[in-house]
Amino acid sequence: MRENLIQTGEVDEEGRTSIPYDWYPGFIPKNVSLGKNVYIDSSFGFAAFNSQNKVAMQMGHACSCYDRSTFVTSGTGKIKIGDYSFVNGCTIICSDHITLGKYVMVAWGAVIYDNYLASDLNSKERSEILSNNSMLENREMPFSGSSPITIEDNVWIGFDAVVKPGTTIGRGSIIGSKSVVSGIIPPYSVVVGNPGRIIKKLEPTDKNHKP
Amino acid sequence: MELKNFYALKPGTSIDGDWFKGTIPMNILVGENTVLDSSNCFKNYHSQLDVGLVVGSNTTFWRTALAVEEFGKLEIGDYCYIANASIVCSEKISIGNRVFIAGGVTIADSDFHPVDPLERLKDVIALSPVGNRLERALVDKLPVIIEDDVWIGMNSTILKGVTIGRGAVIEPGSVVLKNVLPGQKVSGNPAKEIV
Repeated sequence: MRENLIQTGEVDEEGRTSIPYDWYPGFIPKNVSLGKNVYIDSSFGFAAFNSQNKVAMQMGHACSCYDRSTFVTSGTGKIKIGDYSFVNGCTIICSDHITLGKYVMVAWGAVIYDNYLASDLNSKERSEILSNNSMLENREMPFSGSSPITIEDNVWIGFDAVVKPGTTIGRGSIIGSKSVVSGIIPPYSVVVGNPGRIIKKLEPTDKNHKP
Repeated sequence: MELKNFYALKPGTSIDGDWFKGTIPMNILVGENTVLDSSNCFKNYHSQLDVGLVVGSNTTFWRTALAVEEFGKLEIGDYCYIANASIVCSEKISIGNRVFIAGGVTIADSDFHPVDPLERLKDVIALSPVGNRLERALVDKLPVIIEDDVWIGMNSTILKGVTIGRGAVIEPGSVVLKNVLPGQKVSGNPAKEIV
């Protein structure tokens, strides 16, 4: 019924991939490794992808990124997205590690960030970071105090939710729309509110699923 | 070709001067003098019904997502002003006349994915680039009804099954889970009446 979404980009001499019919004149950087049958609707989301790691982002088989999903990274950021997962108009801000498992859904407006963007610093330190960044050509975000994020398989993150640095979300959990979560969320939890609280536990019905 | 802020909404046309290279779907019914900024409003419109969208006259859409699933039907009245909102309809959303919907608002008649972990996992596979959308899980769909003269503030969310009564005011940032009576003013997450 719907057109096939699979797109294959062309790779230029610098190893960057361009997306056919992309409205944004950008590229998917060389250090982003794409699995088979990945769909990305625009390179717009990679405009602030500044990671210098050799492999800075890995996307598994049949992953998809829709509607201006954005990946903001510092020079050290590493993002991993497992098979079949899709991100739909969310923002991932990474200066350490952000790992999404398989079958993860992230809805629009959600923000996943693994560092405090200078909010953990005092105003003197913050002004120093901001003045340093103003000297950089790419005006990098003011990254600080990072702490990795792990989102396990089959997690659903609702729209406008915020996942704070250092969070682990256990398998099968649901993070409700507009919730703000941090800390360790055990598997099969339903979390809502700000601050996020567990309101329900789900049956682990997907435990024996074989892909 | 002239860059304008608004163009007439006409079924089955593509807009000369549109920044987004899309077309307006055929299966919509539109009244007089209803306008939109770009065919991008229909980027996620997939209704396969004979008529998937009915819009009255003199309504304005600006940077709004009219996302309608295969069997969804969206009805919008006259003199509405809908700016930068997302209306996500899997079965039925009905919006009355003179309704103002502000930026960042989301209106949805379903949760779109199952709560049960196994059903949800299968839904993710069906939605992936190699999956079949017809194999998607069935989830609850409860119509959303927004009556005449309602005002919905910025970044508010209206969820499935909600009826908002005539003339009600939804304050900015509200998350509406329950019906709002005519003339009521609600605020907060979850939204509660304020006086």
